Amino acid sequence: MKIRSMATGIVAALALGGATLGASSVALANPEDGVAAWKAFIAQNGEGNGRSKFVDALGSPEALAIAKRWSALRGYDAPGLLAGANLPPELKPGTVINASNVDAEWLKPYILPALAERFKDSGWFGWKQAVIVPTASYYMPKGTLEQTEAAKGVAFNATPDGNLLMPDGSFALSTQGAMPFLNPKNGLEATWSFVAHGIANDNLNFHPITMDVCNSSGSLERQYKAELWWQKMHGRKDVAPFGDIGGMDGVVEGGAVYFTDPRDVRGLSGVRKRYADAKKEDDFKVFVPTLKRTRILSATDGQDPLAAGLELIWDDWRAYWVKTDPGRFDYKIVGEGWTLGFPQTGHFYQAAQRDGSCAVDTVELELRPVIILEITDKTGKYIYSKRRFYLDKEFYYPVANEFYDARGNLMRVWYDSRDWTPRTGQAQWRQVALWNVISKRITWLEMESRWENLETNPTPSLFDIDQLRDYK
Amino acid sequence: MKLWNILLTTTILGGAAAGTLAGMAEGFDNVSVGGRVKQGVAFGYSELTDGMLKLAQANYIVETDISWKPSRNIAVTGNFWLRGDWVDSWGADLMGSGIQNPYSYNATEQYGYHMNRKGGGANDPFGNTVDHQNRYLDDFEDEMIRELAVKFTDDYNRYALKVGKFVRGWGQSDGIRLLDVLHAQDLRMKGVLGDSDEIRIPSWMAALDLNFDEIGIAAPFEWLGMTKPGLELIFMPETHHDQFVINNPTPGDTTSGGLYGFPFPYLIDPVSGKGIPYFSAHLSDVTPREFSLTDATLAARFKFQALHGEGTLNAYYGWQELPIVKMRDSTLHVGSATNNADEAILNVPLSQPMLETLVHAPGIGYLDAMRLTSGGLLGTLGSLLGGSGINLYGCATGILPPLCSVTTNFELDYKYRKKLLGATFTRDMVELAFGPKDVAPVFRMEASYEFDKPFNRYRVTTNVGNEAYGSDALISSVDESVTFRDQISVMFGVDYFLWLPFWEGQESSIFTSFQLFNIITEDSKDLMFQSPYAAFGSKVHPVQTYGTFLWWKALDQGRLYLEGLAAYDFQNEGFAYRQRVDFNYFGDNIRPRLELIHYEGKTEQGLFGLYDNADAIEFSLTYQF
Repeated sequence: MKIRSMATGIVAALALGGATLGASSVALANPEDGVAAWKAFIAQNGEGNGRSKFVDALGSPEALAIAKRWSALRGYDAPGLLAGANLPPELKPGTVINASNVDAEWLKPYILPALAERFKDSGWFGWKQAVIVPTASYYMPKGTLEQTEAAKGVAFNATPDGNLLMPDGSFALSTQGAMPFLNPKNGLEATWSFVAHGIANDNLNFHPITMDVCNSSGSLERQYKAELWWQKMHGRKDVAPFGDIGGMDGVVEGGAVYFTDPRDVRGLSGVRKRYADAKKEDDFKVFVPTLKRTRILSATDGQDPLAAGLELIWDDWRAYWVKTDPGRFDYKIVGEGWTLGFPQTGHFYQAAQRDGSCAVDTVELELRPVIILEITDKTGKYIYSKRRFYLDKEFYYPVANEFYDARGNLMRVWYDSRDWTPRTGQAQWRQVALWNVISKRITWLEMESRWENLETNPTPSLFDIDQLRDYK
Repeated sequence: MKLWNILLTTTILGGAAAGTLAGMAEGFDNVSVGGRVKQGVAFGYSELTDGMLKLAQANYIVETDISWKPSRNIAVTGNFWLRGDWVDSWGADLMGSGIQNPYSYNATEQYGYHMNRKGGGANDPFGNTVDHQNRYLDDFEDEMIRELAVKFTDDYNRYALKVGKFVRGWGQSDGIRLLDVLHAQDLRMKGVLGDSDEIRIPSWMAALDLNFDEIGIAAPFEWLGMTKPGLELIFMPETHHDQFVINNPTPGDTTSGGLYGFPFPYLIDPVSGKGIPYFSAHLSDVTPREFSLTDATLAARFKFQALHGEGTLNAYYGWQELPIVKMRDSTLHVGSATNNADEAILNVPLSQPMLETLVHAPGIGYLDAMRLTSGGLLGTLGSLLGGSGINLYGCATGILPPLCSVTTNFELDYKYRKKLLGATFTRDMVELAFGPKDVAPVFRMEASYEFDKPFNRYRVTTNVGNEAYGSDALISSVDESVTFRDQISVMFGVDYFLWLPFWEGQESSIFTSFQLFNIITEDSKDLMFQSPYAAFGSKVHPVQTYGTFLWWKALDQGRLYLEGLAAYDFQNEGFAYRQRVDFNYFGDNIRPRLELIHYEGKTEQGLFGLYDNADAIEFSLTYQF
């Protein structure tokens, strides 16, 4: 099946819409096309680990309605872009990638070298095979959609001092919930869209998040477990309480974590709140159980791992949680195109099936349209000299991430699969593969997202370190 | 309790409880169970081990913790442990300092004291045998329950109430406690350099947190520039004092705290520089009622944000955790020079005023008589007894060897209220970011004002009208020996995550923390730092300064963990250091640790002087789940 036929004749929609995205063509399609492609894929490749449930949700009337509105608002969608793309015929759903073909010329432009290397290097963090799945349409929640629709024509102002302001001068992300730049024209705007993506939800609850630490020998060295919550404080329209969270004036969002395993870190908990004002650093506190005391951590040092041995640093929560600061960083769009990443199937099944803890047996990969955004450290004082994000053009969240060390060498690579619900557009997370190509260490995250009672859990007390310390 | 008993207890705690509850946990998503078994072996290298590297401690901990979260608003937590040190069962022989040796030159040296069942011998004429008192800290209510509490949290974070037995930490200081006074400390296992979490003694209490912002009464405080105001109220009907054991060789009251036991005090007459032999001490505690509504501890902490930082105002009305020493009556053992009532021909009770008179009487009292004697045998009690009939039994001067001794009853009185006010402030100093990663230091400040803190006097006027000081002042009336002062304490500290410019590939920062403490005591002249340690001028300094430095760093991808803690006592020139090395190479269940604890201090001078002989290096192995 050619990729064009997979997209089921969506070419007709190519010229629709007036939005532009860099140099890409306008590309609207019916979201049903992505659904049809998935159904055809399942018919040929089987049910897998629950593909039909994903596709049923993707094709539900609620999901299609949201997808269409987002598509109209953006001026494009992924199936539409795909239909207009000039892609190699081998890059089609059902194609299996493994060591035998990962170096094929037709594949190279669409797979990051660090990901391709995993299929060739069986000695460390080896990936046996990948199966290409169809390109679906992903979108942010309905509440964000409605606010973005309502904000059409509003001129968001990304200022040189690192603020994102509404026309009245108020801070955009602590007063409303619309996406600021659907078609970002430069790196700063793309970064703000990524930042505004947040968690693609109003609340988040991991019960638990498991963090497997593998060493360069491919052995599971440690396994951390934690409960983790996240909350968007303003512009809430998807999960109650709606509107604003009380007592969080000026705060964009907050994250809280409570470690439960292993025992020697049990009770370690942290709360970090991000202020909208560029001049106001994060409120960052950690409760240390061995001291029975809360310590204020400097918001300027989010460069340390959450816990010993982890590749995950505080600034890498949800892939990127650094305060926007044009004085310290350059933000540039350096390209666009297509790349393979994990599909957002986590609500229904795991995109990646591991072989033990420290290798991958089979992973599904999906071709996604991306903006390539680079954030470069201008000071030489940040742990990463550069971050390169392959920002999904539909979802405003990276399909893939590359983090470079201070010497300019690729250091960490991040791929993830979201626990995304097509019927609402709300997301949490399901899997994160994060590996360090220098130290050859891996942190593999598995999240069990708790959707039940998400409107009342997390409670406000979880973002108060003096209460979180007694969580369990 | 024998070994098999302890194993049985271990099984009960670590096996039955954990196993049963782990089984429950499978059925109840919100129950979690964990625990650990830790065994250490420490080798001392101080005078207690004759200066050699000898077995000194064999600490163990068996611990289980359970939590149950039946709803998002309720958390039930339990933590139980059994600790101890079975070093004497492993054949260790620690030699502590005992009673002054009258046969040493000017009696300035102390007899040895075998702090286990190996008592007796040339250095220990008392021959006491004492079981190691820390072998099983198994009082269930006082020592084995670390936490048993339920916490209720409001949906809107307006209030939270925690009730039960648990621990709350206050303040911003590490190591030296200014405001972290809600709980007394258990110094028996590791002294003051134990984990602060492990040495706090939990109490039955209730803690109510009120969030003024959410309740809707924050406006007045916000008008004053305080945002996010909140109040924590503590009601603690159970009272504990610091737990420690004095290595006391006194027959009939022999106690052994092992490596971290407080030493038996030197008894030196500061006038002559000679020792004061033949005196020993029988100790008893005087405490507030352990559980009382009327004697309860009350405390409150007002929390707020201001000036881009976090502040608290604290108030505490509780009890002193360290004792005031009070001399009571005594017993004269006629016919025993080693304070042994059973060997004595006659045990003569002496009232407190009587002994005070007999010791201090000018010209004829024991002290003056002792001061006139020189050489290798001091301390005849004949002089103080004059021509009484007791001398017939061998207490008279000139009879060799003298056959009398005195055991004095001392009360360790904790029944004094502790009343203090305090404040803390912490701030991320983002304006001062520096270093290779432009990291900002975090500033911490803590201050307290304690009203009427009780002290023993270093210098007293005796009931015969003369002045006594140092060890001599221990023999004095309560009215004369106890006084009160206000005390101000201030701590300034800075935390900094250090990235080194020359360390390429530094994978994580080095956490560093500096603290400087100043403890200012009003009219401190002639106050005793801690009675009965008075021999070498261990007085309260008008301004007592401590500096501390804490650092930690995970190396080798977090598997090799180093932590160092240093403290310096400026006035007494004392120093303490703890170095830990954790070898986290064996998965999540096995935790080996090497720990060095070293003290340098002048004898009985300040806190570190008391621990001068508690140097040790310990290897421990923990299995956790």
